[in-house]
Amino acid sequence: MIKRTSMTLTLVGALLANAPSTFTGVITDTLCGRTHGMMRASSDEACVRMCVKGSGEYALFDGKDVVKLSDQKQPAKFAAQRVKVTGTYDEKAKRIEVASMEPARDQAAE
Amino acid sequence: MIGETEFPLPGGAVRRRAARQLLALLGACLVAGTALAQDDGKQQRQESGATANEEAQDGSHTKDTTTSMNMVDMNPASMELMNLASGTSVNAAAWPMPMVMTHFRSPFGTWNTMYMGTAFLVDTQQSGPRGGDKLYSPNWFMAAAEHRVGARGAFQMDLMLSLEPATITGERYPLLFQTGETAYGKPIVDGQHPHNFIMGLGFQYTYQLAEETFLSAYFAPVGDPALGPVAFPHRASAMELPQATISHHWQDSTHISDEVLTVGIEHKNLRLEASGFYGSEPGENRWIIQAGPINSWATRLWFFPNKYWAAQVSVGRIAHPEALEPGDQVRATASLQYIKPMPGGSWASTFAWGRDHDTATFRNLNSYLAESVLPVFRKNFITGRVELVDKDELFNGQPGIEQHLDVLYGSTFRVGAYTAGYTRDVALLRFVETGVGANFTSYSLPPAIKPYYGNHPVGGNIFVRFRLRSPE
Repeated sequence: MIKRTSMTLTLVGALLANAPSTFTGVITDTLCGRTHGMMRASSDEACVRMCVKGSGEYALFDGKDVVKLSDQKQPAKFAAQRVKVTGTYDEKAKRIEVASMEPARDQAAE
Repeated sequence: MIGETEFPLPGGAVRRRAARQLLALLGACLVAGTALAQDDGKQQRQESGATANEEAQDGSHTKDTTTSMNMVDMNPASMELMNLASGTSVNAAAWPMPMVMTHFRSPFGTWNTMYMGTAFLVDTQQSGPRGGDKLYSPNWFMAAAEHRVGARGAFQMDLMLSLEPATITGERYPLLFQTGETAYGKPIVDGQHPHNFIMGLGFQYTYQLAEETFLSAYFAPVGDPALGPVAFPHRASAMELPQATISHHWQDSTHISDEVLTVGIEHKNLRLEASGFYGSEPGENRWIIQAGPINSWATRLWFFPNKYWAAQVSVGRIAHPEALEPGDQVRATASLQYIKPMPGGSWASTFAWGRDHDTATFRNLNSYLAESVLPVFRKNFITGRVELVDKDELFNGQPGIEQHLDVLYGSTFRVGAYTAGYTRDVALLRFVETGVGANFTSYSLPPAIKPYYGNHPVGGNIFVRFRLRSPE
């Protein structure tokens, strides 16, 4: 009985640890990060797209941190836009494992 | 074996003194680059609105994955220039080139600067009667300054220095089956020459003709023409191997050429380049810039299917490259590189083929290379290199043996080199990626030359590696 209970608790703990969270922020790139002052006479969107053509990767800037995203296809639609990302944060890989992504319409209006 | 005492160089003391002064100069450059980067890193954090205190309190820096790309006032042409490796060659775009970036403002506008540098301290042991051992340091440091010219143009100048003429004594380090160039008036065999003090001095202008079309022009008193893959010191897949490839003079040996003029056009994922340059390989005075007529040509076609792949084919005619050998070389090369970003670095692999046709001997000599470096658990790198090369200069300077072998077995011998290595990063300095490592090479060779090399020649290196990098 004790063994079964402890196994159940372990399983529930593991599931809770990997439970999806919601992250809201702006789609950016790992080269520029928080600001896009690098490109002259270009929009932030153009800058993100240019950086990602090179060694940059799509990332999420939540106002504090710039965190890599596991999915590099969905963010292409939202370059420099505010989005709501559902997924889990992988501490080891230091990136968000993306389950889904959608525009953060409510916050963008603020 | 070539010995220093056989051909003592005049003015050796002067060279040693110059070497000490230049060592101090290069050291100062490295320190200055690091210091500038640290200052600018602080400035960048302040500009972004995140103070050091805030970061310390909330621990935000533990999640942040930006690469401190501290550049300003750029345009798409600037980005094209920033991705160049050596001359106009490029690694696949997904590779985050290890460098320190900063910028400064001058009366002539804003300049983005990039500092790259690598230094190894190596102890090598090469087995057999033609082997040897040595403590030496291959190294190079590059500074590049980029300036936007109008809305669509960008200009960049770069200077690449190496102290190898001082840190590789005796004009060579032991490397079994390596051939190419001369030392003390004799061809270098079973050894690798040092690179010149001035490895590169170039000026490049790129103009964006249309959204995905770029035109570029490159002039370099010392530079890298459009021939071959990215040279091994700058190649992503060779970053953890301090020693040269034994196919160097079949594939990428023109990376230090004089009087290089290259024009190129890029459209979408294709780039076509054409170069003129002075074909003779660097002379034995490695502290100077040679000059000569533009007597050689090359052309190269790049194909970039996406940012993870880079492929090239190139062909060129090199006028009298070897000082002691008659004739020209017609070189053809092809290469394919793949980069996969991973935690702790990038998995980088290169496959290359190079063929030299000698116009004096009419020989066609092939070389094949496969090379890879794989980051494991962030701080560990496993690396490997396999080469097959047709060698015809192993007995240069030994006419008796050369003639004997030529009569019985022919003049060309296919040699295989199989290298495996490991590097462990040890974080010592914020802007310098420090690591310790070792690699081991086993060789295959035809029975005809085993009496001169032994049945199972091997080589080993242990090393410490220092590389400038952008802090994570």
